[in-house]
Amino acid sequence: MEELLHVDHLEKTFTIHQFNDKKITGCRNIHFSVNQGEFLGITGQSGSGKSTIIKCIYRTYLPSNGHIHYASDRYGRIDLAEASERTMLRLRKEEIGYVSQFLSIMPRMTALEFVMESLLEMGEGEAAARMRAKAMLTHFNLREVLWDTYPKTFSGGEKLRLNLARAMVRQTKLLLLDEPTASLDQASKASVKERIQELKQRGTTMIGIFHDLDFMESVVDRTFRLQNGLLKEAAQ
Amino acid sequence: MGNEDRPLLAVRHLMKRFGKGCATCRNPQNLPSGSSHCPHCGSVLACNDISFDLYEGEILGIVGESGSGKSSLVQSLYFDSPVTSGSATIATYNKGPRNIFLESAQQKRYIRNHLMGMVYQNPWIGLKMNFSSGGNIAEKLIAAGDFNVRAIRSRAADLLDHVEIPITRMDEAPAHFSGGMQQRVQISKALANKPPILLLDEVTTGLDLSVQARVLDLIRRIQRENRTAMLVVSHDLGVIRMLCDRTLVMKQGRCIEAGLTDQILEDPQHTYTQLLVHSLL
Repeated sequence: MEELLHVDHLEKTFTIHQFNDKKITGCRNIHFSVNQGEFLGITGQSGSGKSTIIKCIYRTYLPSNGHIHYASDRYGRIDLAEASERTMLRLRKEEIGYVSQFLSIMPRMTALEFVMESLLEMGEGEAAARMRAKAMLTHFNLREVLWDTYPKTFSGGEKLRLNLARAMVRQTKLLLLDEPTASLDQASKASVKERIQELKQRGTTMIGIFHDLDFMESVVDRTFRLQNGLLKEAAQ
Repeated sequence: MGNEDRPLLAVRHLMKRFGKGCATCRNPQNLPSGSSHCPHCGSVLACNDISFDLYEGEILGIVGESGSGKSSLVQSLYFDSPVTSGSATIATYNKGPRNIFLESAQQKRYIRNHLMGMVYQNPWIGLKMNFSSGGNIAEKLIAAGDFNVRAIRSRAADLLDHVEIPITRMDEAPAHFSGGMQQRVQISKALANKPPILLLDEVTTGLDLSVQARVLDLIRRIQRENRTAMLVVSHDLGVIRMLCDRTLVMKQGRCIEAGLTDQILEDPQHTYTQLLVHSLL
């Protein structure tokens, strides 16, 4: 199988200037690679640096050291640690998706518009985007009465499902999942699982962070465990 | 692809000094660090070596405290006040890749009227308050070479409708309008000549939250529909987060940090940016 992502010596250290340039290590000496179509799970205690790795790949964090080689459709093999901002924006738009635990939405944008926007940005037509967005909201069991309301007042689980719907409605090459099941009930987890399997069949490569180990083991191909900022592959 | 990889507006080493300047501050390296004030002659360097690129369809954020030089920067770009040195080029300017700061007054007027739109924080600067709203828009259209009265009126009506000002109030003067409405009239005036570049200086500052949401929504719509490139100046990180993909952080006339907006907010590098982000409510 072809390698999609190869992380080499990745290190992230935060320097807090207000407190005498105190250094905080997010993660260090991280190596791993992910093949095309694979689903990699990362576990570890909270604060162990799981999100740091994912955010470095998405470049919400600037890596302090190391390389993140990615096989892009548009750019060929590229080091995300050094890619220009414009390149990153392009990749985020076309190839790399990210689902966070938190919902960040423009004020006065409805749930349906939020999911549609993700498709409109990719150049999809208005009517088609509306149809696909509705199908996705249905898939994630978001009640129809909520579609044309503002998500600010949604429950935690509803917000999370909305985030997932937005990220999964477009088929990206690589999808980064930051605790996608954190506050979901069993039924919602089942629909997330279904959707993950669907994406996998279509060849989407995924990297996910999980606390829910049972859920994780049911969807991932390989697992890594983070301890004190160091990554180890778990025995199968 | 070509167009997307060529910056629409490229600004290099822009300097804006208030005051005569002296041997010391002509070389900005001599200024004490963390200050824009020359200790010898008392000049202030409002913009100190600012460089950036703005691309088609992009909203670039400029954030910083008051007095950091944000407004001086956009006002220089709109030729409201002359720069001290530096260059700016516009890719679609018909005279080619020339430094627009060195063009003749006539050419500068052409650039203002055809290639740029500006929305000031204070609508009293951007609008003639005692002209009708439609008249304000007409003024910009006439400047851009449109003289057909009927066409002008219909375009003005379209523009006001776009920013949700009732057409029935088209002949009313903005002096009678609320602050939020004035700001929206100002935006429609700035859009009248369909400029490829729009400069927005603290456009939501002082508006109440519901009006602010409407103005933000309008800005996003303009970006999507017209692929207008925008420079959004704001001290409000929330506004920047909602609108901009990339952001520059200014402090005391210098650009101290630039990056992806989410990176600036979650992994700020500079001391001041860290302080700013941690001051967010």
